[in-house]
Amino acid sequence: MKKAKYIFVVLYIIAALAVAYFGYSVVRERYFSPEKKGVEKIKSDGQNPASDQASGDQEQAASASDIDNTPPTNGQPNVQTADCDNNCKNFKDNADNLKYCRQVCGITPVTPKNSEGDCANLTGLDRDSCWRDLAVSKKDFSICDKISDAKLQKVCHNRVTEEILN
Amino acid sequence: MIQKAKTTKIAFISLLAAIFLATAGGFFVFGDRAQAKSSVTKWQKKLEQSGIDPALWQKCLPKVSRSEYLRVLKLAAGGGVQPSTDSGSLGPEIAVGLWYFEKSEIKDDPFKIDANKDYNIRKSDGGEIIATVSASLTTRVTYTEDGNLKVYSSIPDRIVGGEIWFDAADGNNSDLIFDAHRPGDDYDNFRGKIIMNYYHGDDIYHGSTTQVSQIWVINKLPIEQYVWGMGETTGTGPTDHVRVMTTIFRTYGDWYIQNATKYKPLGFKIRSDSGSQIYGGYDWEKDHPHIKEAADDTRGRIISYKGDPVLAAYCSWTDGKTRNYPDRKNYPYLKSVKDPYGKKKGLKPGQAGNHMWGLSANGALGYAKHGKSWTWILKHYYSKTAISSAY
Repeated sequence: MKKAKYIFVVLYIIAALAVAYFGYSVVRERYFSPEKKGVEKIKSDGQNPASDQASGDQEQAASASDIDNTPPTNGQPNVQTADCDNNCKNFKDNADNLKYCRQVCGITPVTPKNSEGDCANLTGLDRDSCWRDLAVSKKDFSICDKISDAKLQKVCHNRVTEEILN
Repeated sequence: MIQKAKTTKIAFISLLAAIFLATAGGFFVFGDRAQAKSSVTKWQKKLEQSGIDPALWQKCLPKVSRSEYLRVLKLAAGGGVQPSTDSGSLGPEIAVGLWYFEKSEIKDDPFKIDANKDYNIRKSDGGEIIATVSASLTTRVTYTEDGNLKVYSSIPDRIVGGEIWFDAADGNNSDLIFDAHRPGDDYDNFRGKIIMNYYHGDDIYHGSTTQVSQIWVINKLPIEQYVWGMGETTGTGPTDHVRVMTTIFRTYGDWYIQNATKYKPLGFKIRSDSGSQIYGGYDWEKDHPHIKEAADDTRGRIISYKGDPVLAAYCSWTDGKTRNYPDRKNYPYLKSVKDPYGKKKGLKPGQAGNHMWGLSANGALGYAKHGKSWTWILKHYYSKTAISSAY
């Protein structure tokens, strides 16, 4: 019987090893593949030239725009790039939504602002718009973080970047 | 006897456990493989079932990935990065602000345009055709009043709104070249569509609140063709350096397509001067053929960070190292790195337009001369990024 016991134990170990072997590759593929991570890390100190060409050849689709990807908050409509291309015409029946869309798309021009006091007494979208105007006027990214709507906050950061790079 | 029974029991349980694990493992492994195999067709099947035009996703075959599936959905919904319907693999279209007329200027000397093949005059993008004009005929446009433009010369006088589009009569804009007769500038031939847009409001272009009226001339074309005409380089350096630059031009333009809003009221995404990046159009492309060669070598390639196109900021020189971008939260890849070949003594950040963020063109040239590949150079200046295919 001792012999039989050993056989069963060996079978058990083999089965466990098989599961571990195949399981590892599956788990790695599912949760740790480069596509999941989205970034291929390299040394930026110039020590990795041999692998450059190969890594540079990786095929990885870049995702669509930030305007599309960043979800709105505060119950605002989900403005897409296509809405900006057609000047928000799909929102013309709702004044609030139209106003929001025009903000997201940059159709409403920036009005120069001087200080936080200009925005303090405003509420809602008007307040967010004011923060954007102030951030652009001051070329200060940190002011964008005061914006409550995630999408407008992203638009603000991008708009300040445009201002700085110009 | 008891010992024997106990041993048998243990052996029996071990056997059951082994069978269970082997079965579960097999299911786990082969089930996943089956799923992986079916995922090749799973997303494709979803696309087929959705009734989306196969033309939008045929190029994803034979293996339609989840990201491709999502991208096609977005395209079908009219959002996201939309390749021009007639541009094939030339990428999404970018609207470039070329120059503008004051009202008085265009009244004195009207805008003139003709093309290398017959062209349409439209009221909007893909909108009502006002007229189809023979290639050799020159159309003139001037300002009338109340924000209206007048088209004449090639057709009977016609007052239209504040917007006019010129595109190919045969629907193929990829080989269409307009001569826009820019006053005082020989670089005035452009691929793709030409738009005229009347604007009244703050002087956004010059960054002031002075009220202005401007009639903008805009070139809308696929981003690949845009890159071919980039006036930021002559394309005469080492091949890998030109590849670096074309990839940057494309990525920079792509960022503007997706994120820029500043010039939206004027009708375009990006400027054609050093305020954004210098674009010389078809005349520049003809005179500097190596740019197009490098663009073809890197076609569709952009620099990305976590799957999103990066802001590929670049400058000419640094003081020996690039700088951290002030908004590290949103642009973590624009971090300070050494730039030995781009070093210019005594240069300060911001001086002569050298903000020192991202890549330094002369630094990249030095690396290319020392044998570094274009992908190596890009990844050196844009930390922890990947080179991706956008289309």
